[in-house]
Amino acid sequence: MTESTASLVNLSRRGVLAALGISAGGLLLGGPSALLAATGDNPASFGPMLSIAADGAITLVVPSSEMGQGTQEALARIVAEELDCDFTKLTVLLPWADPAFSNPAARRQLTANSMSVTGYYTTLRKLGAGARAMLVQVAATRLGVAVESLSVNAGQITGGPKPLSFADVAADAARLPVPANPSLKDPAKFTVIGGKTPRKDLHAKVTGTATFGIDVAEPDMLIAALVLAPHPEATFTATGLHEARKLPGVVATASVKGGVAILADRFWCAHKAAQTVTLDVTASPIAGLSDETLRAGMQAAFDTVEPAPFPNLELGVFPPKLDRAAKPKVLEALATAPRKVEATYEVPHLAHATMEPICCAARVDGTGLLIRGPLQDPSLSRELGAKLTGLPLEKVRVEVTFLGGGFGRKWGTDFVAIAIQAAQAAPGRLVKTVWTREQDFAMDQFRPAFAVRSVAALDKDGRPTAIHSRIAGESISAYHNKAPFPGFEGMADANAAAQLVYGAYAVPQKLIEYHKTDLTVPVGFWRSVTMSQNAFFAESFIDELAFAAGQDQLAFRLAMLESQPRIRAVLEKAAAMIGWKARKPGTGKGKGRGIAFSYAENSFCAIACEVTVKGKALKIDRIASAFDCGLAIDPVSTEGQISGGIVFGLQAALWGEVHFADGRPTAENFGDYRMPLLADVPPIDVALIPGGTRPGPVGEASTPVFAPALCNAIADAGGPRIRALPIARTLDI
Amino acid sequence: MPVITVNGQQRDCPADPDTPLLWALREELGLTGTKFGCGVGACGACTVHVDGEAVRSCQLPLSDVGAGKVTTIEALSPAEAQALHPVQQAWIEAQVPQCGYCQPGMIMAVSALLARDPDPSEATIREQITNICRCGTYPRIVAAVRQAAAANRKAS
Repeated sequence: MTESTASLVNLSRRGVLAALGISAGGLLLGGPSALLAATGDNPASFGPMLSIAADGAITLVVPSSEMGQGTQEALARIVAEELDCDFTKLTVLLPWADPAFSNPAARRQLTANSMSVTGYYTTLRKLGAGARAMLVQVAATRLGVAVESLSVNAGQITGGPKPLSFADVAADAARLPVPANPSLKDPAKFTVIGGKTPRKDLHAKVTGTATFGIDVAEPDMLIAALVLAPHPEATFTATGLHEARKLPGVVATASVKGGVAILADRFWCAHKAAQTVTLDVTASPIAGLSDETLRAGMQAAFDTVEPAPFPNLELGVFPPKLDRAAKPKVLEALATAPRKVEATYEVPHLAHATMEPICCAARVDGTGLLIRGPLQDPSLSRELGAKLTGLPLEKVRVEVTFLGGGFGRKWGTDFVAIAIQAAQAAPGRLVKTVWTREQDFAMDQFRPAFAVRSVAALDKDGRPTAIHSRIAGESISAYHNKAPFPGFEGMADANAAAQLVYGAYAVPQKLIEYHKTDLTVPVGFWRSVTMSQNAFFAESFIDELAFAAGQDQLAFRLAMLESQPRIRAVLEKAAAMIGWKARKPGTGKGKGRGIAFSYAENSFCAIACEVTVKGKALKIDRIASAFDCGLAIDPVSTEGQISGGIVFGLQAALWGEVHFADGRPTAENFGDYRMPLLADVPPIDVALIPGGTRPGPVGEASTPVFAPALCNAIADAGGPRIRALPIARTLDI
Repeated sequence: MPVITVNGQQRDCPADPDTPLLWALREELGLTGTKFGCGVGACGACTVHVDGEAVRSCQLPLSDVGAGKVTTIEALSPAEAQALHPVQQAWIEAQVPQCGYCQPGMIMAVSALLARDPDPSEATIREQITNICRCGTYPRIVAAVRQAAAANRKAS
């Protein structure tokens, strides 16, 4: 991903100060930029994120949404590292929607794709370094010494005739021009970055004082409970609304996208009233949908839909390279191969099941629209608010709370639209829409189901010479009307097809194709998106090739990864952690070990695991993971993302499956969608491998790797080759 | 009007008697540390103590609280202690929380376990704590419970 300055917004500094009500004397800096240097008077891309008060308190608005991934801590550390402040005096604020807070990598303010740290890294370093330079400049002038003679540590400026603190010089420093290119630290001297102190948000999270979306409250607030049809585009007639309005506590009812809302003074009143209302569905895009029709739809796509190609992605280099396959060459290699291996795979729809059910608060009044909630995409929420209310964008304020889990679900804005529509029924009052867990499951935007057909050619030595994999399943981009990524026009939806065959493997001929499948199931972005299915497909098939070749699964992979030192390193480390010894695959006699990896630009994750298989009984004995994300800003949190991501992947691998019957998903609550508990989680060891001075993506890295590692281990133990997830369809666990 | 004892105080709860304790705590008393996760007693995000026992408050109607003494995450450590409860401290030291949504319930479940079994084995911890954490913080939870248990033993 390349840094871009295209999102820089030239805001008037005075306008920004006025809008925020920041008193004179505080230090406000935008991200440094060429713009700023050119004009000398305008804060740049990220506008007002940092302030230093007269008492030395430092406040940083972290522009990304905190949903557990630790973005708040990581971004704060980046600024603090270059600022050389006392990190304990830095307080973090949750963000609001503001173009000045856009992620340079996305050119929007959204938290997704594991790109908060990577996208904001350079800009936030410059923000901290620029502020530091201004503070030191004032100190040097005041003390009559050269800037170079001063040093800064924990907010204290020393080296002159007397020490000065940031608080002493902040007011004057704020009046200086912001340096365009402040010198940045040598990463070897980082102390805050790479440190192991506990995250700043932990205290609030263990005392129950962290404010999540569901905790938003103010006097006179109303709660909206929903009655929802089985699909957002379904049409229906509602019965019982008139009677519901007369129930105790009920204030109003509202039509919302795909259903109705009952507004009451308390959740329980709204909830009870909602249960008295029924929707008679007159038409639904998924009428009659069932597991059987879904499977038939994918079969039909393979049979009747002309496949769209997708390029191989070489992500081990920066910037990543695209390699467009020559289909005739691939087909010829397959046709003339001495040996072919074929396999078909499938994965089901998956639910997000964030612990905080979907919720969002909104208020429409004379001053505009306020949206306050657990949002991954405040930019889009704001635009949606303007569209739905007809208000100009500047009259729409969007405030982001802590997210009780996001995993991509809260990137959707379906629930924001519903919250706004509910609020429009009670102008002047904050209305908090709270979904039940049942609604959270039923009206999820699921990870789509996919089916894959793969074929590979092996030469006489068992080396793969060609791999052709085709995938069918619903397009997330099509469901959300999203344009293809730049450079991918006319190609398959990357969310379905990318890395279906790993570009990293030195296989001479590789071809990825996508049979677009129209199923109209609401689908969306689920932690690791494409890789959530394709790591399973890609790494299971490679393992099957190792079996066919009769070669040790690790050695087989390494032989195709000679130009991928960082992938080799994580594979070899994970293997060592699990005690891997080379042998013929599938000969584990009930005790197997498997390995798999996934990768993105500057992010490489390998997982090895050990299992015991006796008949149909599966036991996962141990899990080990090695991870290289370049520079880990917050290593303890990074390790937690890897082990937590494995548990997330374990749920999907073992039990994750949303069934459909009679035109609706059947999962109602956790009883129908099994979650791992403490007793289900085996020991997980994580090793971080340093990989340079640039941070890479973290939050989605391990989730997709666990399923193939586990299935490969099961096959190695002599158990069945799992080609359809979840594993509980085949084995007992 | 139901009156319940919460965090050492008698509190009026002007809600319907069939209102689950969870919602009364959150909406009548402003104690939002207790979370709504599933509404069916499956996830444990709403765990509070009633007379020292861990209870899933989404399953307890206000009318059934009676004279039970309810403690929520906000008062797990009494104000006069001026320190976090050992379980909360262990949670910070082991850096357990990620999104943090389930953690108040998790901490209430663990503190109730430690109150009746000050030194649980790992097997006991895994068997007795059945709250759901979607972020998958389980590996650190085991470590943190053992750390809190050790701190308890040291203190006693």
